[in-house]
Amino acid sequence: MKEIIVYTPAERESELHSLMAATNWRWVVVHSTEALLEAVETSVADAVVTYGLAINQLEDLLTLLNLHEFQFLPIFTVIDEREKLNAALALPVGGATCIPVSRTELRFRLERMMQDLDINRTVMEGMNWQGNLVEFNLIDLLQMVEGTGKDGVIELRYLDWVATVYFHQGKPIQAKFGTLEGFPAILKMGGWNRGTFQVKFTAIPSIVDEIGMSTQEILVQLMSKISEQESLRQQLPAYTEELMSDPFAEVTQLTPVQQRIVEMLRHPRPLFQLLLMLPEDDRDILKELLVLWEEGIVGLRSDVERHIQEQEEKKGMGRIFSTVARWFRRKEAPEEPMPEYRYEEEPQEIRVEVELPALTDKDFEAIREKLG
Amino acid sequence: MTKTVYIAAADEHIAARVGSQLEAAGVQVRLFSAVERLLEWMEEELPDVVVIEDPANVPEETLNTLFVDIPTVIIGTRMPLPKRLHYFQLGAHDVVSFHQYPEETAAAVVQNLLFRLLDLTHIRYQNLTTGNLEIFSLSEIFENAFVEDKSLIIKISLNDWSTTVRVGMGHILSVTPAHPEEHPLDTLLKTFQLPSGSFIIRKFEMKRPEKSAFPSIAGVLAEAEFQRREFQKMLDAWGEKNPALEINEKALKKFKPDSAQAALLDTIRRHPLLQEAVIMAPGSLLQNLQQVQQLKDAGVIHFVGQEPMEREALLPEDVQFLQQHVFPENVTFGKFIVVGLPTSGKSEFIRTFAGLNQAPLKQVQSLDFTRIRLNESLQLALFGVSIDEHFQPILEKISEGVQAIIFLVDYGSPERFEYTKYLIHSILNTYDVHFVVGVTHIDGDAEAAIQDVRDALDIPEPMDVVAVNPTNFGEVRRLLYRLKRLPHAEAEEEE
Repeated sequence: MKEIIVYTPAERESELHSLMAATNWRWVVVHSTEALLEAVETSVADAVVTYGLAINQLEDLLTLLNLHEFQFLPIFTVIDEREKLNAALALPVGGATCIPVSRTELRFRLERMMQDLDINRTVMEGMNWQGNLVEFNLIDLLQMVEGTGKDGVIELRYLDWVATVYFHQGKPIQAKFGTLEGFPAILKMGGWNRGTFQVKFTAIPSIVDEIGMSTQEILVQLMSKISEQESLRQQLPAYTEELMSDPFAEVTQLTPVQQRIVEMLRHPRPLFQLLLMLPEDDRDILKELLVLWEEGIVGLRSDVERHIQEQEEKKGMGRIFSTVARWFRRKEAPEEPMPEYRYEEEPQEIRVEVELPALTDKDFEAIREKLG
Repeated sequence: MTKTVYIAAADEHIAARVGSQLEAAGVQVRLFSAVERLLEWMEEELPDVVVIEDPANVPEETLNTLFVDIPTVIIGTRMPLPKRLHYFQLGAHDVVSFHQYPEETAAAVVQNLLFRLLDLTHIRYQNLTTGNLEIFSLSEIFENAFVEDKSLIIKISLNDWSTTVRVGMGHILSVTPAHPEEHPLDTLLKTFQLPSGSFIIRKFEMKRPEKSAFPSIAGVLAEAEFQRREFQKMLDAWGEKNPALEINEKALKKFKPDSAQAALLDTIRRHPLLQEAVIMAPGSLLQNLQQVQQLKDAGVIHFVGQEPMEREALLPEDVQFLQQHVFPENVTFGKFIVVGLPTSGKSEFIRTFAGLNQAPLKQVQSLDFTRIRLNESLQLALFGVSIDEHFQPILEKISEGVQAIIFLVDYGSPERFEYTKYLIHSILNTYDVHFVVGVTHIDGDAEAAIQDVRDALDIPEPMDVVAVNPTNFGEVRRLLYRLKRLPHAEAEEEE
């Protein structure tokens, strides 16, 4: 059964009753953006219909949904202003129409949109499972694939990076990522916490076990690597933060890995990308990076840029700064005030309250009867 | 990637105007004077979207095929509502009549459709996890959420049946019942028995504490397993796998079904397969199974095209054949060896034997082993030996008392034929037992493959070479009937 969330002003809800009554879809009607956010957050809706919104309200709503990372929602909009239909169709929505519209025509349009965007119907051929690494990382995938006992491939993707694990009868037997092969490639992939995955059950080119370890051994090693990596990372910025080498830092003697890190960070890059670009074990990279971080050779992009500016002012090296500034094309921006929420108290830990089973007298009676 | 649109319109001005607006937006456009020309061109190259001018004179079957193949937008100067609905019913993606909207709207509709089909679909793939239940069991997903304390929203669907389960920090928070009158827990338990279907998963963040009125995931999984066994018991008792159900309308007229039985009968009309019917009908799985039993006993429903359960063990006549032709007299313990390259399907062969007979399978490096009880007084030990560097010493160690050797040859690895030939002939000369060659991984003409293998391996004529799928019990069983001793051995025995 299709689940459709309708966002409409309360006074317009009655206009939709005949449409809702005519289909066996499940409808949830909301009248505020807060309620809409709550509804989309707690469901996997097949469609979100906005009904009777002005075009500027629609634009604001799309911005809000985008901010909350709901850009994947299939939104169908029904607007009042006929002359604004083309503008509505140009927005990132799955479909649009304007009032007056026949109920059947609207149902057809909505149905077509849901069919087109039903990712289970359009699933790529031979692909048995695909998704986001935020939900299931390599450790989860290896465990689940083991349970199937089948042959196939797990493919991880992040931007242009692609990594592959081949498995035979559910057990990983080969892995490839860049120049890495076998267990080192798996170790590298184990740290991916963003990007997408695809699992395909298919014949594999070879069933020779190039890894030579059981799935459990691999999982234990991966977990220990991730835990070690995480404790190192905690002394560094988040994976998404952009890092950069400071051209004014005093550099003495660098190890080859440190040298490469400094070179790569001549251009600002997030930590996660840096780990993907270097073939070394992530833990070794983080250890070397930590040294560079502590010595001030590498810093956060914003800090390094500020430092460059200070140096420029101090030494009058206008030309250098303007060159560097041109590299990054960073515009001067007024300093933003600290957002208020930063001063809020730490939110309370969210918990699930599990109700303890409470047996009634009737239950006890039933149990006694069963026990004889 | 360039997006392409084909436009077929008798009115070339309309086609040109819509086309130029699309081209201005970077879309590659090709114009055709008639739908027939467009269809001819499409045999060579397919566009992303097709736009055709009111195709009143085009046969409906042609339109239907076109609409199924490529998303199509119909445009026209004056198309009243019944006509527009007719095109929608045939499968058009959208219909734009210029008496309602300006011509620019046609281009805007097409651009929106391109965004939906190419961009938004991609965004959805990037943000949602999806898969199919035939491959991944829901138990694995729930178990993972439980162990890792995950917060996930899981939507599970099979045709028009669906439910959404919210799991917060490893606890089930809510389940949308598949039917308004169904208990959410019944819906949840049914999801674990779905024979096929799909799922969509999205991670979510718990914003505030929530109460869970559901049992723990471990408890739900245990109950689901119990229900699966009960279901299986019932199927075994009926001697069926997943039969189609048929309603005996005459018997139904005399029978007065209660509301639950009426709902089940209604579901059977729409979903005649037993497994789908008992899951999709409102109510708990076990209750529905009981209803099936009652309706069956009352003669209201019966199974159609009864498919007998596949026998999963060797039949008494198979054992008798082996006793008469392969095993020495009064033997109580038989021994067969399966020899093959790692890619030959040797382990699958043994597993098929072991799995379907519920016999335990032991695997030690390049050796598989299982023991099967053939009847009260006869057991069969089955060894699988990989042809690798340890091959000869292992074979020597286990060959004592062996009655038959089965060679499995991977037809997909002809480069190993020469080596396999050497080994087979060396074994044929060393052992005086029954032999057969099974050819695996044949992708095409089986007869030709068998002849190829016989020629390449120079298999002596009396010895059988047969195609075998090592995962198919029937084929594995049939292969046993082809075991033969070579004539020189039989002659020596007669002497």
